[in-house]
Amino acid sequence: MEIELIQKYLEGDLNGEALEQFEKRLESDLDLKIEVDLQREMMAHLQLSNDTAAAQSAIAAVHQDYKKEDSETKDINASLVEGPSRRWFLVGVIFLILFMLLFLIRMLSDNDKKETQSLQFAVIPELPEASFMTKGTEDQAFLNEAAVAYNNKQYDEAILKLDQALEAGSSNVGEIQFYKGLSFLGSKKYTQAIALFTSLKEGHPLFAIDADWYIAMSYWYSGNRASAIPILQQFDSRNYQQKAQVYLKHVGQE
Amino acid sequence: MEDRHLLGLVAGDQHVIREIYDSFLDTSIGWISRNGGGRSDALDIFQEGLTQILIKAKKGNLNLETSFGAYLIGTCKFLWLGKIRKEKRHQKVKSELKLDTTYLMQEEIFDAKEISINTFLERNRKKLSEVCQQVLSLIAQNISPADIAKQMDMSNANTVYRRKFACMKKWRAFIEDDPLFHEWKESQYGN
Repeated sequence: MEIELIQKYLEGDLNGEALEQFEKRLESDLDLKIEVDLQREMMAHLQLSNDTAAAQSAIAAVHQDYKKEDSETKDINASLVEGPSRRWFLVGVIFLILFMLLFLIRMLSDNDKKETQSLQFAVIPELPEASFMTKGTEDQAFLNEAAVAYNNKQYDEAILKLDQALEAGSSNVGEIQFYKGLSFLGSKKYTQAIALFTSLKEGHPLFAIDADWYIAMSYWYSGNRASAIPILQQFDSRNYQQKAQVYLKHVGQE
Repeated sequence: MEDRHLLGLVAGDQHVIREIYDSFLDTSIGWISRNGGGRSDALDIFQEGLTQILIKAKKGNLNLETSFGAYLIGTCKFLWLGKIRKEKRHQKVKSELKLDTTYLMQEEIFDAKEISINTFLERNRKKLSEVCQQVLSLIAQNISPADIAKQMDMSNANTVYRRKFACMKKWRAFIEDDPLFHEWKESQYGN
């Protein structure tokens, strides 16, 4: 009823006393004023809807296309969740891929490490280079030749030259014995190496720690790890202790 | 009305409308996704936002003080917050509303009241039956009730009148249930 009355008022169909009464009510009745304003807006909106019908159809057509594309994409990504969860899902997938890659790289690197380690415990590591201090003595030529041969891993030749240097009366007995021992070790003559390093240790205390290390190495690479282990366990010098730990760890004897 | 996008929208140019979708839809989807909605919601809100801008432009009271894109995104944000507030489907609604109100006040890119009224009028009009929408549309085109009766296979002009008021009442009832209407009323007339 009210809607019809308001409609008449808005369309100018109220006259005389009816109009006067309505306007009087309108001044004091806020609810009526709201209804009149709203109904005016509704009628204006209807007019506007007609005016914009063509454009609204165009929007609806484009909208439908996008909806269709979206539902097709949704089909492809059916397993993915919508909205913010979907974003997190993608982030999760990326992290998972990165994690798997890292795991793979780590695994390969571990394998390399294991191979390197296995090799380290099976093959004699690089021996220290030889360099003799000579001062124009008779043994100088022999020692130089011995150093060249030793550094080129020609251990038999090195042993020969070292012996010649001793025969020539070299004063570097300890040093010569040390490299001779290393030459035995390098040429896998473990028993001779052990005997030489044992003798060096007793006769030249300055070489004692180094001699012990290479005795242990000679035992280790000869396959007699049982004899190598107690020697490796006794090192208290930092350098050899750390090295010894690597070998002991390998056999679970840390 | 100088903006190329706005001109194309009002003219119903599908190429321009498609360009608008291509340029701004993703931004709108991004924001709505971060605020509890999905792609589908964002698409519907985008369409509603464009419709609101179209209506406002047709009314002749759209004066863009910012870019068309910023205005459109702002409208979509406003519409989305209105929707989630209505549906109360997100627990963080209150804080988001607070955030967005600040945004709207800072930007002052559009008249929220204007958008509100167009929104609740249009979305509730669309809830009406096809017959109701058609009757009201024909009346708004100033077609005589007698012609409408003929066109819509009704017995006479009185039937058209009765149908018109029945549809208006129905429309008004839908509006009553819309929170945006109450916000608009409060902003216009106070408590």
